[in-house]
Amino acid sequence: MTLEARSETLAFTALHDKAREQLAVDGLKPRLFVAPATPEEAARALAQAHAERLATSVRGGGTRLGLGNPPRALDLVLSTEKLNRVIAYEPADLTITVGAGIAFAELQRVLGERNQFLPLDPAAAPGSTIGGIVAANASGPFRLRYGSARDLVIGTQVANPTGGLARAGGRVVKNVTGYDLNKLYVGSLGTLAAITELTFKVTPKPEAEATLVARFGDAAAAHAAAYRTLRSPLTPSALELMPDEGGARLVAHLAGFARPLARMLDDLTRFATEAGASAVDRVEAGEAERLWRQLRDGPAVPEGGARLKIAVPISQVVWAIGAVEAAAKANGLTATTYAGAGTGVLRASLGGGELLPAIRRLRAEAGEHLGSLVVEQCPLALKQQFDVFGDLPDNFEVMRRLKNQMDPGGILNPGRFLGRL
Amino acid sequence: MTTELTRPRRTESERRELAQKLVDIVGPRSVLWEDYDLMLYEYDGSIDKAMPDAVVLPSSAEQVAEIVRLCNRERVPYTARGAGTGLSGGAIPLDGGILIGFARLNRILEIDLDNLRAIVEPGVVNLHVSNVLAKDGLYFVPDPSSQKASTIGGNVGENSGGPHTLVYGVTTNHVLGLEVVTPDGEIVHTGGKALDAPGYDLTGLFVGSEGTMGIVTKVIVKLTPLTEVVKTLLGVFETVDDASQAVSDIIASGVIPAALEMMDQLSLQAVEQATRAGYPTDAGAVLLVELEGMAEGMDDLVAGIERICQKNRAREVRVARSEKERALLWAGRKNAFGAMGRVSPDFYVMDGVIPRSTLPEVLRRIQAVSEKYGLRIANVFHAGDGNLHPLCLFDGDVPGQIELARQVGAEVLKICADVGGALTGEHGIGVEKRDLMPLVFSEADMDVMRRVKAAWDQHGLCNPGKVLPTPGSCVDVAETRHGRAVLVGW
Repeated sequence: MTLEARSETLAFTALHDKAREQLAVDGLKPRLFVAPATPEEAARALAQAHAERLATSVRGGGTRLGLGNPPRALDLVLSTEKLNRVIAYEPADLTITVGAGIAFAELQRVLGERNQFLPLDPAAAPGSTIGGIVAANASGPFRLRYGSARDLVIGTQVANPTGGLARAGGRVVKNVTGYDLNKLYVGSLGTLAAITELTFKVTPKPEAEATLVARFGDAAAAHAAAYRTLRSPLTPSALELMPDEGGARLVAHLAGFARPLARMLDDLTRFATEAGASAVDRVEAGEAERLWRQLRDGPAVPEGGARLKIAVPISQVVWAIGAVEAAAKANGLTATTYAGAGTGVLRASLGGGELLPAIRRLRAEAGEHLGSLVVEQCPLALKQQFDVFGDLPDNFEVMRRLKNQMDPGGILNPGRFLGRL
Repeated sequence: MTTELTRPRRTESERRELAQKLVDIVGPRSVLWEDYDLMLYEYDGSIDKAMPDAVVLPSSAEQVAEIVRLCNRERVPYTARGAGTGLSGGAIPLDGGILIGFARLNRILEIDLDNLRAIVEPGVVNLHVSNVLAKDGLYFVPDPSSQKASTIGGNVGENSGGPHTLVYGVTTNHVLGLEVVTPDGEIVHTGGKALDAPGYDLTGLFVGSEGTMGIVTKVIVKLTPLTEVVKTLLGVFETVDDASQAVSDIIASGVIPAALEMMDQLSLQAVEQATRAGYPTDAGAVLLVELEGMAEGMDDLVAGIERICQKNRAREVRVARSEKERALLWAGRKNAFGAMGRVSPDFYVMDGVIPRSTLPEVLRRIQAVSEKYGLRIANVFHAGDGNLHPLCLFDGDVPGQIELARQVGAEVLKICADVGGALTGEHGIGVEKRDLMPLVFSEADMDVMRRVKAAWDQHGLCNPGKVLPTPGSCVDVAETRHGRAVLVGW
């Protein structure tokens, strides 16, 4: 009798209760766990999951699990924790290739040794991985100058459920070879493939930086100062509005060589003053760091509350700030908003009451103003009642077909994406 | 694999019938179907050519959708064509069928200063957008050298670049939304004036898809303030290695120039013959450096770059002190391609990308290829982003030389792939490099791309035969057909 060669199946670890609890997504507890040591193992794991129709969630640091609709099923967690090496770093080429499971902080530390950085500034709790950040398309105030992940990722390697490993893009910053699948994977929330490796273009650390805070009597005046800056030759890294009881603060981050930085400080001070600022102050480094961390993290969400991301054309930022206030007031809620004056991206936290009517109203209004509203975080019960991402766009059939092509067994984060794909 | 038509052209009566159905959609003055009208559309900027069965010029997205639905019913392939300046055969109707032209979809629909956005139809010429915006101190950043003729739709299809991409990015970084007629004949919208439209980034996927995923009918673009000052320097170096090291040192110093152009000795010599820009013809390389930004501190940056050039044994460094001097420094570079006409009857422009740090090695290997085939190769290099344009000089009247030039092209691309680069930085894959895709992508890689294409195009009629080789095809160099090498911009 001949013995057949056994195919190398990976062992998925059966999870005990406590671990199942810890790895749960929206209350759904997985049974199985695998942490592949190489991209090849990740591909085999995913192929196995596909063959056995195991609903699979890819996990980095698990710091952004609140994002997305509740999963329809969850059997297997595929962790990228071991895919955490720096694979190639060419400072002279301004590119770096890393495993998707590398901690964001570690990536920046490596780049910092050569006085470079990846100009992405998402909220990044400890343990947050670059793969997770890219899959969630998480971004922060610096996208004004540097763009978001879609503008910084130049190459990807992914494991897909049917075909093993696949690459797109490359390791060079200028590249139109083949389809730009990088753009597809960014923000896809683990629903098309498991990202195993990423290549980024990076940038030199600026010589000097400064943070300016200008105080205004209302958001409109603050926005006018910001808009004037956008039309000027200045290159601010960030222009954020923080409305409060007394009006609004415009918080600006400026960076570059010393002399252009000095000019930017002068000009921005003048723009703010001419727009009616009652005070314009340069903030010292320690407080600046605290302020930017606060802006990156977004307004704190009260117990039982929600965080919304509203994206509108920039001329509608002041409207959006007012709309959040009005919707909160009409529904007896508290609200705090931070707004990207130059990006049109606002983050608002709502709390203290019935959230649903306010959210529905704001989503409808955002749509009328050519924008969108995504609920980044909210109580689970709410997620059953609407799609956290929004109404179906007229291109949804294309998205549905893409999902079917990439994940024909529907095993990757089923139900979590727009349209509960 | 050849690049000839893969099916016989329709008969004259079939073409007349098809033309009549198109006339029913767009009217008689928007359909071309007689051979002498179609000949103009047989070529683009590449070496490939194919005669369409008809050219149709819709004037609305609804008409485009009807045309696509007609093509689906009649099983007619269709290819979008902007200005036909493409260099990889993207606008050539390889499988026959019709061309969709955008001469009647060429309006700037909206300029939205408050939101720093414009909405344009795909037939609008790239430079025209910036010209219209100039009075407001704004422009549309992507400036491919073809911009006086190329259209926004074409820029979207190819994800066009230009000399300034290291700082400012390429077309995809400046396009925020699209209206698209899908290969099902449906009009859909992706992205918008606001950022981060929920769902998959279909806009980002579509840009650079070379007209194979659908037909663009509107483009939402980002508007950017014009730069305040521009400073230009020229460094003359003994060797390419020195110039290359200077580039690395410049970047290490934290400066990202807006443009960094390098020319090797053969390019210099050709240029000097043609324009007498004052380049010493025994120099190894010249480096043209351009800085853009605010006026403050610019002189310090210029001085820093001068020091770096001198540290790398630059024979001389010229700094432009006026617009006239700046134009003089650029004159040599801008005329580089045209100058080749002085030293050779024909030339073949190649487009490959390499990691910047591998430049000296790559140029040595290209020299070896040149010697192997007995054809001279002059090198012009976007040193900032690693985009290499080797110019293979040949004489099309000498039998076999076109074929040799093609083979040189394939060997150069193999070198680019070998050092971890890319097959194309700007010109696209199209027909030209389709069968070389296996140099950089595995079957598994291309399988995913085929699936993505299939998600958009279930009929297989949307610009077929471009970008992706048929599965399992071999890596031989595409056979040459008759054609001319065409003068191109950068």
